[in-house]
Amino acid sequence: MTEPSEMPEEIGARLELEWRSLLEAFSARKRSPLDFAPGRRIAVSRVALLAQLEEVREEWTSMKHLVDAEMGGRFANAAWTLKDLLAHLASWAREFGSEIATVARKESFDYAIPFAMSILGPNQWNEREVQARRERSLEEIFREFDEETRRLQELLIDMEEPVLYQPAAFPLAPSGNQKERLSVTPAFLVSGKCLHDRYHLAQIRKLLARLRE
Amino acid sequence: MIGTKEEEDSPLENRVLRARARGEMSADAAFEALFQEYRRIVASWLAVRVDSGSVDDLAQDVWLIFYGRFRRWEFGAEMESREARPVLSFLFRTCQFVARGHLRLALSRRSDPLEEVGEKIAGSRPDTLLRDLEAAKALSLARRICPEEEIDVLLAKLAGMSAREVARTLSLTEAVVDHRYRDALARLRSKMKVGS
Repeated sequence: MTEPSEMPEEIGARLELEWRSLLEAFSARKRSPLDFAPGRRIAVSRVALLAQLEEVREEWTSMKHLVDAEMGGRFANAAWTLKDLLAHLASWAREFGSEIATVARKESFDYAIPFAMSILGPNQWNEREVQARRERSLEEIFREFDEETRRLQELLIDMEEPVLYQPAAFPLAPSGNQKERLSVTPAFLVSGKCLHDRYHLAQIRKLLARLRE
Repeated sequence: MIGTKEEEDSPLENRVLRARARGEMSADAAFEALFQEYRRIVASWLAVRVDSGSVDDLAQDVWLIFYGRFRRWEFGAEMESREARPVLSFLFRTCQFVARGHLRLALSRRSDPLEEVGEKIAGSRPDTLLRDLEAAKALSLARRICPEEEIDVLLAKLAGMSAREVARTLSLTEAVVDHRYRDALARLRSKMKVGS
């Protein structure tokens, strides 16, 4: 004879009991996450990089449903509209992806992106890339960022471990001198991309909240 | 203004965030307090999602991501709400992303189906955690038969997050959260028998 199934409440109670047992199983593991096990890299792991890229992709996707053409035309700062700001993120998603792909192929760069007239970023490059996207639709801009960031995740999965954590000379030239290139690991650059994305995504969130008021 | 009694009754997370925002606690001390408060929950969330051999490493990833973020944490108005737990919500989302990254990486590294990979790793490490997990039949079953979006809701609710908090964290409506929770329980009920 088949026994009767448990009622949902009983299933819920059982799950809670098992959950408490699971919590108890981890009681003794108190090692600080800042104490690294021998052999573990201090640098952020490949999984953590994938996770952070996933986070910005999700945040980006959620914005897609919030921004329409009218909102895209509103000014986000003194120079750029909201659509321009989104284009700025899309342009960097493409550039970072291209740079990481170049390093993964163990090739070097034949161009530089100097910071000019600003310690905050390469204004000329930023402006040129935003201008290049002015005629594109919001949908195209949203697609570009997402596809490039997804491609970057795939690159990370396939990248050789030593290459991921070995410093390379990237095109960014923060001093403005084209010969003084930024030398960091690809892992660091990916973390930097996520930081840059999150910084602007937070700005966009605040702007959208203001527009909705 | 929150009175002393109310302050004492509020979740530890809120008290820590308020103390940190007022400059009464260093970033490292606040981090340590939050780590001690939530370390078991983070590990348990991961234990349900991934093979047991990977839980420690992935938990460290989650906490390191949080550590980096906490140093630039924006103390919003939500910390004044007794219900909202922005840190727990952040950890929950980060566990999701880390587990997803781990599984994606594991899939690309092996030709075996994912289930088998997990079982092989688990089978090679007979530790206490595994014995506890073996006893967690309903949770194990949930992992096998429930879609990821139902697991998300189930794990959040088990950790004590309210439907509103889960909805906000996952960008869903509360109705969808409740619906997924009920669906997960119904799915488990259809597979489990009394006394199993």
